Amino acid sequence: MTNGAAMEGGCACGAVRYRLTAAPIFVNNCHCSLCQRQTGSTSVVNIFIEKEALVLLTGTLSEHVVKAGSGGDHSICRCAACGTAMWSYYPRLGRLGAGLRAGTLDDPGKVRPDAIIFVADKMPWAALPDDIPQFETTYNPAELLPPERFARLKALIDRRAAGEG
Amino acid sequence: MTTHDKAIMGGGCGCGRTRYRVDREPIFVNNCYCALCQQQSGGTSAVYAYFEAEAVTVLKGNLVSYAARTASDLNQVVMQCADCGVTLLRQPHITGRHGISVLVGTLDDPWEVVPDAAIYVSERMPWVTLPEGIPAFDAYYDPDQLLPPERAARLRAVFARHHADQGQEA
Repeated sequence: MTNGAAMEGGCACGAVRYRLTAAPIFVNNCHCSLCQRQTGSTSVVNIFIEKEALVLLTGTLSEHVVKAGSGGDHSICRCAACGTAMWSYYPRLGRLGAGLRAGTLDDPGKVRPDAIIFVADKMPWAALPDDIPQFETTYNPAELLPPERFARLKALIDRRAAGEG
Repeated sequence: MTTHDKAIMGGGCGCGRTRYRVDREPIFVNNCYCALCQQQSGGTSAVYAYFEAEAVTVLKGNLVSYAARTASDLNQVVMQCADCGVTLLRQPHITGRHGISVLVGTLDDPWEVVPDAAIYVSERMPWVTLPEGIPAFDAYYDPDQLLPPERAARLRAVFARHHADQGQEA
């Protein structure tokens, strides 16, 4: 995993710019039917990170709510000027953690998914790399992630359970 | 390629307020890995099916439009549901009002559509595996060589109508 402190990104028109001040907690390439619809594509590549480590440098965000797979609210933050989706807040972590769309990084090649999820729903012709763990639906992060990164995720889940976010 | 006069595919946005239907088979379907499609989708690539504009009908909902660049079209119009922000349609500059693309992930049955080509694969994320059996190109391709003659002819007809708009020889 790369040093997240070096990573910046932005929207299609350049109005929104952001910086990551930590490395990703984990990266998922999700092929579920909701991600297909919301991206219009085969899948999304989401970088999950503590919200405080995702700094909005310039620009204005608009926010739209769609349903998450769990039935809860999934809020998508977009550049208000060009509509590019930047990051999402999902029900599990609320506003404590963001799912940042990796394609908006200046250099998306700096991240690599930890897992490919919901492959049961994938477009039939979409090919999956055989050197990244694949799951029919989701996985147990305690088993997949290195302890240090799982601890960061657990800290967010505990804060959420305590009523934050 | 025989069903030209009835709705053959439906699709919609993330909240269900915007719905469209498609009345023909696509002229072509591209799976584009360019950096700008990565940025606009947030994923590895875009998958879009291109049609004559009249083949796509918005049935309900409100669309908002933004200008956007991709590697294959430097000035296209991106159309999103005003309520949920999900991008449904793109109108490429190169064929003006006569052509339109549907983002395949927004189809109700996206598995019914298979790309004709993977394009701009030179820009793909390094871990991405390209689909087997689908021609891949570092940039774009010659549609007259790749597409079946009937679909290539439909594409030429769209360009001809656009050029006529511009007062040029088609």
